[in-house]
Amino acid sequence: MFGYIKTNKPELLIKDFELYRSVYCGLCKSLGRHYTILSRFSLNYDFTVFAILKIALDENEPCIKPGRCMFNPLARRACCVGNANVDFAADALILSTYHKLRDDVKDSGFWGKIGKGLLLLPYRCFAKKAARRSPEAAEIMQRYIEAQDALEREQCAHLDRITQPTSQMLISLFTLHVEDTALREALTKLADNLGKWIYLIDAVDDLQKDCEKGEYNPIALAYSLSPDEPAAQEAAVRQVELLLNLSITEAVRALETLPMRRFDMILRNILYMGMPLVQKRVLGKYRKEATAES
Amino acid sequence: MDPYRVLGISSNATEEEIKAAYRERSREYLPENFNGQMPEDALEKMKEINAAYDEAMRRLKSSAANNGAAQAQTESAESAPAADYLQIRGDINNNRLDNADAALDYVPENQRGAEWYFLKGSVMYKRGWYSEALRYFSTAHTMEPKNREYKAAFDNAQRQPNQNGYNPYAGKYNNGPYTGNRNVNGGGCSACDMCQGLICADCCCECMGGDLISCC
Repeated sequence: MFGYIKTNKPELLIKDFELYRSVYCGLCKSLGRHYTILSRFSLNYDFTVFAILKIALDENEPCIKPGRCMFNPLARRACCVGNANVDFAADALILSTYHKLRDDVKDSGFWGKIGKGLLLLPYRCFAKKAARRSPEAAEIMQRYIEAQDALEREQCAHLDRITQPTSQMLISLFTLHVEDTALREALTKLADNLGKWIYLIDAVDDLQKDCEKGEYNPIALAYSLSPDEPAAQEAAVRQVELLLNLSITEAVRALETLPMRRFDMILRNILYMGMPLVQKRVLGKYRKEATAES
Repeated sequence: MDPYRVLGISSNATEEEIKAAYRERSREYLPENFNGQMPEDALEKMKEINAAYDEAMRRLKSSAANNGAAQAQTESAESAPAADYLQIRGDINNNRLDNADAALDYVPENQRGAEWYFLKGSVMYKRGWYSEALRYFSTAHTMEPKNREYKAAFDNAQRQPNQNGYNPYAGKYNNGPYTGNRNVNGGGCSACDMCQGLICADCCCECMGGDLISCC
């Protein structure tokens, strides 16, 4: 479920891109500082966006300084350092990566189990540390990942119900330590719709693979798809597209009610252009195949 | 405040009469009558008229609902729910979704019309259960294809995000170098304009006995 929340880079102003990258670098540095260099490889865009959203609503001005990157030492880059929001995003990132890895180990074959199991060992330590640093985040993730597993085990075929744990998880993470009622409401709506979108786009992305392997996929179950019917798959994907569109529309609406102090153009870029672009790419996969075969 | 006195109508006026009176009264307080600058007291008066109109309409509706309920009771017990939908709509608009949902579930299955499906869809939409909402909206739309409200809900649920081509940078770069279809001539002189000018000049010269372009 990683890598779907992205900017549409060509449409981003250079100043906004620099700011975006400064948070990205800050997150990477925070990972390095708290969880050794190994954890830096799990850096991803989704939690960068999460940190950006948190900073956008924060009363305190973020501290952005020039710094050097260890993997690209010649370039001096702006870097958002020593920010509590970024550190929190780093903890959440470690926790979610740990859960994902654990899930992967469970699902993979013999050799995969050994390879990923080796990687899992250090992450278990990181996750313990992250849970110490942000106990609420650890508790939230644990709770909703269990709920998700339970729904998947009972072969849930209801597209609204299956997205609930992801939505709820994001809602809890977004509204953590937020007191203001109006702000909580807006964040809840935003997180709810983002969660739905992320879960569904991931399900669409994996639809074909899951169908072939006969693994659990809510879309395949909801529309009772079989692997040898690309036309039916395409029709189902078209239906899911409506849900994805609605989620984006409502998320955008929620975003516009947020009192953003900074980074508003970055967040707008992501919701108005980045997510639709990713959606087009993922859905396009099914369109092309269907037209090529017909 | 007596709404009927403010609007200048009797207390048993019909909906049409209330509307007509409201239009009549509010016309006196249009901004045009004050050169665009509304004085304080005129604004106050306008507010009073608006409030009176709302109140009169509310009283009319509630009395109609009471009459309807009484009528329904005398006629038969089965055709009661029609009045409930108004209440449910209010609940949905005020985000009392649980109330609305409970009231909707209370409606027996054989009496669920297009409006029921539409309202149920609205509740689901507000809850964020989009696939359910889509199903209900499309049922409402197929049951009564001519109803504008159901059609709008159904169409809205099917629209693309940002269909109006929202561009966060709009208004900033409209005159910049990156806008797509600018007038290449920049409002200046085109080849066509030049020919026209030459022909004009030629005509003038010929009037005076000279010639600019000898071939015509």
